[in-house]
Amino acid sequence: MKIQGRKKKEKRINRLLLLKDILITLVTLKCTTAICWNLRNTEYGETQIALLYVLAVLLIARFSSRFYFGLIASLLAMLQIDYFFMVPYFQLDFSLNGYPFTFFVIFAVSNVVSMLMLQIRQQEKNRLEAEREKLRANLLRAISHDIRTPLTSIIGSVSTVIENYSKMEKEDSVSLLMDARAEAQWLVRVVENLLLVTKVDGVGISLRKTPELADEVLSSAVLKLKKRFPDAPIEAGVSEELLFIPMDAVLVEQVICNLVENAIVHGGQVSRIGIFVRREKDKALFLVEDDGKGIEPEVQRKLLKQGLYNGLGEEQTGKRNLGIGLPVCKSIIEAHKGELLLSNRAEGGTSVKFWLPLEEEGKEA
Amino acid sequence: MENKKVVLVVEDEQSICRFVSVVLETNGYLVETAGTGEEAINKCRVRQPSVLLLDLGLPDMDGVQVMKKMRERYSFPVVVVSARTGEKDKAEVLSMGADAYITKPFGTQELIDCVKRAERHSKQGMERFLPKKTRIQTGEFTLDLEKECALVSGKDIGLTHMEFILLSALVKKSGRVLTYEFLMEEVWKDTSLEKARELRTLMAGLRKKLEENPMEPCYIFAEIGVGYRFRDI
Repeated sequence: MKIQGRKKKEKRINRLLLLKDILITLVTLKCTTAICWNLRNTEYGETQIALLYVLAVLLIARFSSRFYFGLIASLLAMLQIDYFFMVPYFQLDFSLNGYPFTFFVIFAVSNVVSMLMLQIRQQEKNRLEAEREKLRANLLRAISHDIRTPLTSIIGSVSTVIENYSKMEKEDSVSLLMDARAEAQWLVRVVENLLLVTKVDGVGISLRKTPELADEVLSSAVLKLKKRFPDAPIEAGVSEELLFIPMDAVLVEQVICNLVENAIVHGGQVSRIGIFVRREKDKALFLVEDDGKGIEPEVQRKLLKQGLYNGLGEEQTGKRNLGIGLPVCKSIIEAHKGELLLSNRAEGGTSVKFWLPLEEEGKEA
Repeated sequence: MENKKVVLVVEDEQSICRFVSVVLETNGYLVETAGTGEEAINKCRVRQPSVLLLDLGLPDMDGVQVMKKMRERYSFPVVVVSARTGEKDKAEVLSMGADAYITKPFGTQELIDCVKRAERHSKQGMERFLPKKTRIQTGEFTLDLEKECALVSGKDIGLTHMEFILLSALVKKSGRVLTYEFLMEEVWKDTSLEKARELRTLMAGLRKKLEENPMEPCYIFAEIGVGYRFRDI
């Protein structure tokens, strides 16, 4: 069903593009004809008319999205020149001297321009592809770091326990095993985030948006967080109004969890973490704020500027970083056509705001 | 003297099978294992388990197929284990008769809770649906089926008729996730798209009346994208 929807959408876009091309062609030719008609009896005369048409065809070939439009335009241009501006006026007569030559020039111009355009588009595509590849490689590098460290620790602690089973103090082995468990749980989160990346980054973004109630999403996130961090000072609230927000709820829930986790793990001394949702015009504003130590402006800028993939600042290696968390959050929100802002609060602490549109524009059933 | 409950664990991954067995055994269950769907079906034929723990990714057939086969013949509770995380699958599996759903990776506590809950369903399922019972109670909450009202801490929370129908549907199947479709069918006999929205609105009102802090509910839990669950009774 989803694929069908996407196909339909593609079709619609295609039709629009075709319409646009036709419009460009017709309008340009009409204008040229009008100008030429006015020039017809001045001293500029007929020699310039052909030139103007060449220009028109060139413009059409440049701005239409399909390459055969340049050719069609050159044909139309020829017919018009013949019909309007060559003796005998108002009839088609292909036998005139020089006619094949003019036609050849116009045709060649349109052809060359169309080819160039095609090439440029291809190059653009290649460049994007290459960029994507590079980002992907960056991601993989970052991930393998994120995965390798906990794996080392898991293997290390578990092997230690196995090899020294009878010699070790019970508490020691338990604490080693607990480390292993914590590391494995960290891995789970890395994998979760990875899955999110593949979801958000797919070529045709596969968001499955359904209208969800803000308080359900929020309370579900809070319950999850409470399970993971039983002592976290989380406060959550929604406005009285019921907010139905079209979203992929699993992703948005993950965003909220990620943000709160960041506050807990990186906020330093945090005595309060607030999560609120309210309406702001035609958007829903989600606010996650804490009273911790805030984020240095330098890091802040970097966090939001970097793409999805450059999640790891090199200098952060060693301690567990913000991971791919924040950039992922940002791209999830952007995939919802929303916006995410990060700032430090005047009274201390961090505040992350994100907005999601309340109504789906161009509704899709 | 109490004879132990049998859990049949259907899982092809040896390491998972092993730790699940150990966890369940230390919690007083008797564990049988099966590595393939075929084997699981055969074992069920020989001896019906109290709970079936079923992994969806089996080497010989789709776990969903296995569940369908089981449902045709038996009524013991099925807990589905899966590494697929889409809520769509979740809703699908639940609507096909699974009693609970647990996603990999899961913790030991989560596993035990899930199995215990499922096991209780089968036992209580019988008793609870006897028409005799008119009052259902859990914690501070009481539902009076005869007077069509609900009390929290002894106070009537003033349910509307619709809210009452919705709440009693949830309470009667407490501990299980009821999908949106199921609830819409239950309340309106209509599963159209507008009703989906209405259901959420109705539910929001109900939760507000019922929960002290709707952000940290203790009775009705939203399973996003799937449905709702009333807490275990």
